[in-house]
Amino acid sequence: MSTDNKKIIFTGPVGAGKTTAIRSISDIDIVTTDEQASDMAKAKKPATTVAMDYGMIRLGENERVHLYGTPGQERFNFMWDILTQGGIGLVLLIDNSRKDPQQDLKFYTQAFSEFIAAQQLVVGVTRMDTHRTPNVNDYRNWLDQLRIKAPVFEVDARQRDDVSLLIQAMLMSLAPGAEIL
Amino acid sequence: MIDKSNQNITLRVCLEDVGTHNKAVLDFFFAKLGQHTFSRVDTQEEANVLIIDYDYPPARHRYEEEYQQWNKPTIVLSISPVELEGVVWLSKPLTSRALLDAAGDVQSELVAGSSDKPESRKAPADAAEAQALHQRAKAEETAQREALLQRPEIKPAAAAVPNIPLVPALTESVDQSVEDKKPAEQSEQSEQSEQSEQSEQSEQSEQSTAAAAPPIAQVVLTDEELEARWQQLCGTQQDIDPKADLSEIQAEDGFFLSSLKDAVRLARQCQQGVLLNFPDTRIYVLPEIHRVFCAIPTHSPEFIDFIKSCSAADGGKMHILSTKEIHELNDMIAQQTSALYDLESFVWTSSLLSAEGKLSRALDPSKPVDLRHWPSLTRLERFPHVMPVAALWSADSLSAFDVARSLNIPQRYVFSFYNAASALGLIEQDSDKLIKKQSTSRTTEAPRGLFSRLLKRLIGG
Repeated sequence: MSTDNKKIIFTGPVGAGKTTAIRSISDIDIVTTDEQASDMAKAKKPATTVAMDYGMIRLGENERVHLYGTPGQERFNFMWDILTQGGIGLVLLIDNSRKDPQQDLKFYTQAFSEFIAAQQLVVGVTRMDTHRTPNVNDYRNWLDQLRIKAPVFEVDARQRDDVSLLIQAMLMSLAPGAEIL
Repeated sequence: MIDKSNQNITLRVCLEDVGTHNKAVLDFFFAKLGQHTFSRVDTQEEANVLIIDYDYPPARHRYEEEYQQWNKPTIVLSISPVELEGVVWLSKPLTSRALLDAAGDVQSELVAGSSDKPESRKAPADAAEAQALHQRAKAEETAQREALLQRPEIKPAAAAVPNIPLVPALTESVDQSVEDKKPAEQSEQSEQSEQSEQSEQSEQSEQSTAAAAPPIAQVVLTDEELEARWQQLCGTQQDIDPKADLSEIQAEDGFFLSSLKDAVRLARQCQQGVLLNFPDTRIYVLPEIHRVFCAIPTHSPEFIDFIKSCSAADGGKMHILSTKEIHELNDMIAQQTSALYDLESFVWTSSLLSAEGKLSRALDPSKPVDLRHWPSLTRLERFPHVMPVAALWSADSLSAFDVARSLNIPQRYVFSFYNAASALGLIEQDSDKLIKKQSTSRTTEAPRGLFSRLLKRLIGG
């Protein structure tokens, strides 16, 4: 019996909450490829993803949605094209406490521009509870400048509901009016 | 008292283990009265003073363990007195006066030079450590890159990565509900855990303080209460024929909502706090921290009564906050942090409660319009069908009647969305002004069946 598989990709800078977000929503214990951080990532957290994170949502015996998290550090960007192949959408998590979130947004939307143009982007802004600026409206305006239309939500990557809403927004954007079977 | 001679020293302050509410208070203070005294920085290295919440035990432990390395003056927030060398105790709840006094004390300490010497002593050690780190980083990067490039294909199965350390300490701390770790995983983690213990504690404390403070305006409701709330937000209006008289489904904007929208506009234009003054309550619109302070809970019947009863005769005048009012507000926020709402969330809820499912007369339900941007639905009060409405309206230029018909849902939910999204400035009446997404055509159709099943799974839990 064949298995129907689809992919959702999580990306964003180091410490934005990609691994946590996948863990929040995955049906399985996630597989991580974390290593002790050895560069500027260390300032954010002791260990960081070097190849990918993997989680999964099971929809039935033969249907799965795979959740892949990219490594956040730019030097691993050669992984990004590989991970996005066959993906249905991109969850971009931006850490609002970083020095220049606008630059992060610009960098990742450009890095994944082909995929975003063909599929759907959703943006989750983390750590907005502790860092109130920039606000969600600033992100909307920056996306306008980049000519990208995508939902932007404030999220807490530890909260399943928040991550779930991001993915719901992605799916509904890809297929507006989809009935819930 | 503040020593005026020290006031030209800007305190570069880093917040350590400070909870959400106190952070909000401090952010507001830094943006207003404290703007010439404090400058917030993100890291300890940049800071010349730290602020730490001492009432959280891991924070206290971390402070005591690491204080010798920090060697920086510290303002400790606590409900009970703290007497430590180099520490200025600040009693909670915080007030702007106490913060300024504490700043004066720290500035005096900095002038005395007690904090500069340790920093200068520390520099050679930092440089040596940085060099060692750099060399180690290069070696690790090379090894990791080679390992990854040698891998012929990325396989999702767990078996594909048996020799790579799994589930490190950080992620374990992030989700403490995941407890069923394999012994092998735990032993692999232990080395990293020891090395990262301090950072982990920082993560944990931040998460705990965040968890202790519930998300703004989030209230857990039973099914019956939820139904009742949806009626408050969206009314009970039955659908009408689009060709029928619209007076049944339309109403003037309430006085409160109009005043609130004006206050938000003014606050955003001048980027200063604005006070909206009513006899029953005062609403403070604070654009710098994107929040609104309102002492009446938005879930309470009192708030609905207030919205419906206030009129021009009762007040509604607004002005930019004076220094005295900022002082008062600081104290009020410290006393009642739950009264601090996300700005968009407050406007959204106020708009819904004002309209009760009736459409503003300024909005034409037959005219096609676009949704410029999605509302941040994770932080707003949600009602039935809100997400499908957002998705459809974001994709196509449609009238409110068309949206309701396309989704086969009651019109009142579409009208409610239209009202609230308009209040937030998210609706574009002129399609020509809309930012068009640069997209390429998909090679395959969206798998709607799978999407539907996944949506059901996500919504159903």
